[in-house]
Amino acid sequence: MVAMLVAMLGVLGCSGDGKDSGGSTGGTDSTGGGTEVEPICEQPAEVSCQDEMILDLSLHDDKVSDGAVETAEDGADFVTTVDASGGGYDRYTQEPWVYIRFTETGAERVDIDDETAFESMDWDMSLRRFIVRLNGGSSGPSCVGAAPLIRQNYADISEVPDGIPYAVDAYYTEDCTIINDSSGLPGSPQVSMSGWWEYPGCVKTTMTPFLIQRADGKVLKLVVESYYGENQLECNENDSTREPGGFYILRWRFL
Amino acid sequence: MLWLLHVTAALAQRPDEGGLYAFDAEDQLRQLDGPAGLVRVTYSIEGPNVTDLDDDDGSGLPDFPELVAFHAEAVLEMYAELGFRAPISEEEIGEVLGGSPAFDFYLVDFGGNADGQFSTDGCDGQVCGGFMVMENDFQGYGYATDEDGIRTLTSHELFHAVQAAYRAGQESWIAEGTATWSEYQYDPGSTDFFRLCDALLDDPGRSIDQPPAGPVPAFAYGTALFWQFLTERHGPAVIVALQEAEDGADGLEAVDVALAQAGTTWEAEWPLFVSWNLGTGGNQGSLESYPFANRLQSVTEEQRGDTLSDDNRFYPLAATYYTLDHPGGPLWFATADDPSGLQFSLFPEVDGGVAPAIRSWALEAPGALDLGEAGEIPAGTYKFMGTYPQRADQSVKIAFCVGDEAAIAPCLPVADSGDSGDSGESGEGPTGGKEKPGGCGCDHPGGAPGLLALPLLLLLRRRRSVTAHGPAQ
Repeated sequence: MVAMLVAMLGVLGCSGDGKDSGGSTGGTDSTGGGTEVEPICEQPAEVSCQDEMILDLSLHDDKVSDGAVETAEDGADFVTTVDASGGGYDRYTQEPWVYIRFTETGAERVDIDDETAFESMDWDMSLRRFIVRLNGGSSGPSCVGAAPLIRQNYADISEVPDGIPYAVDAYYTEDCTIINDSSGLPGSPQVSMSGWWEYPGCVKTTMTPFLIQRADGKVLKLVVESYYGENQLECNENDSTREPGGFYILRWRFL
Repeated sequence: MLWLLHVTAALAQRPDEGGLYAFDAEDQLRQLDGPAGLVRVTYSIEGPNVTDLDDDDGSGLPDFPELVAFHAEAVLEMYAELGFRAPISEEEIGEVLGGSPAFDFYLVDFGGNADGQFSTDGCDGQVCGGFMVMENDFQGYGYATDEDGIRTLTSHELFHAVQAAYRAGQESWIAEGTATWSEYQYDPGSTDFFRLCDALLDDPGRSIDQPPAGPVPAFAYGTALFWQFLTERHGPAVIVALQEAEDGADGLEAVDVALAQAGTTWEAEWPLFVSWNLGTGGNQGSLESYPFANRLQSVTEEQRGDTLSDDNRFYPLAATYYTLDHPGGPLWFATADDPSGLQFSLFPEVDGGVAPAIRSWALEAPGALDLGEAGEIPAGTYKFMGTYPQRADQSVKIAFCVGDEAAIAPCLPVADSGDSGDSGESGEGPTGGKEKPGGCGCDHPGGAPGLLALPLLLLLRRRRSVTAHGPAQ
């Protein structure tokens, strides 16, 4: 699915040509601090198709998520847990999305409602159930983009490859028809990070690592290690699980 | 508790051949035919997919597959009586599968991922025939009894087979909504039907034809409430007409045809539907609603307060609800945005339940409206409802206020500076020929709509005066 996703995305938001941090982590500074990079964008852009997105993705203008976001250090990595369960599979449409930003000291929750997020560059990633959006393109006014590195393992990525293209979310046509991903699930938008999962009968992690470029130009590597909290293995091995979903474990670090 | 039921339009392997939900080589399979010969059930008596083997009736056969055959045939007979087409038979698509021409059920272990699905064997254009795969024992599912689960599954999933006789792959809100509606036709005590209808009442601001993204769009099932509303109003023939219309159209266009055949329109039905939805659950009162209103939850509200102020997108074929704790006195509605197409209503709460609307109105332009007609609205709790009762491509987004004159001030249209000081309005009565700031189509007891324009104009004149003289005043 990932290869198809890259081919289908087509819309390339921001290019890392010389603007990325280029692996210049500054010796022991594994969180990217101190590296000067050019910002990709500094002003919010108008988000199109808001009317449709509110319905398609069940956005809310009067609720702010209280889903827990916690970050711990694990060696040079951050490990961030995000409760994006939305109250369960039969309740999530009534719950707002969880918004987070990646900082030098870990990921933290941004407490804004879904419609305010249309105008905010304060967040980098938004999660609810199995959909992960980035703040750019169809999803938000910023220019956060992602690049899946489908042939690499997370641990082996030590620098940002030259000239890597970052794709912003692009899941609406010009006439605001939603573009679904290739999962076969109804209404699952073709976000730039779709490739972290597949659906053989449950949300199975692919362990595909992503490079994520923030609006300020800094790049981090990230892998979704789990969608079912500490119980991902049952799904990955059996293609089936009764574990509650939406409990992410994200491993990441700045490059 | 219906779990992720869906119709699969792609041609599928039968469970004794393979596929996602299939028998295992270790399963020992048996078959059982229904009394009328309409249905054949294939089940396992030993192996990973073994069914519930209890034989309480001492027939020598497990009760579970017997009940499946019994209810499936009863459901098919009900569809025939209502006037629906029968599911496309295997003979019609040129094959006889499962060992007989009867409609086939296969009982396999879904492992909690789902509890049944209709899959297709073959199609002729948009019309398809197929078979049913169903959970083998309901262990770990939430049904009160096996028979409860069987009643739910047979009446829901077989309607997908009926739909496929008109058009396979109907839009999910129609496919799942009418299949859930079918549950209630077969079993008016269906707890699954009531539970799923609550999904619509939980999200009333969503257009009925726009279920959310995701693999389990409960909202799509919840549209059963609309189909039952139409059935209460026009009989089940309207759902038959809908399916007949699906033969040539799909989605809203098919509903257009069905409504026309029933001699009605969206504009006539929708405001009443969303009004009925206000009278459910804890809101049940003298307001007309469903005969089973007490089995449903109350509709989800956007806001509650002694005044209301909201910036809301009113989506087409949706409604938004509020509760107003009015302290008594004048009560106004105001918006500086164009509310064309929207309809609003104010319902009093009487003895803890919602009573019929005391005022319904529509503004054709930005403006303010005195809901008390220059009088006072008694203190009490009121339900305020806004709806956009027509098909449209976009929502209507307006900021509005409800309350006394002070409360609605932020929502008043700002007068053009060129207007200031030149009222020219003193001679205008309620039917004055000049352009009105807010045209009003109002439906209220005891007065003509135009009467409401007088206080409206007075209010706007006052605001213009302030603007003309500036803050120093």
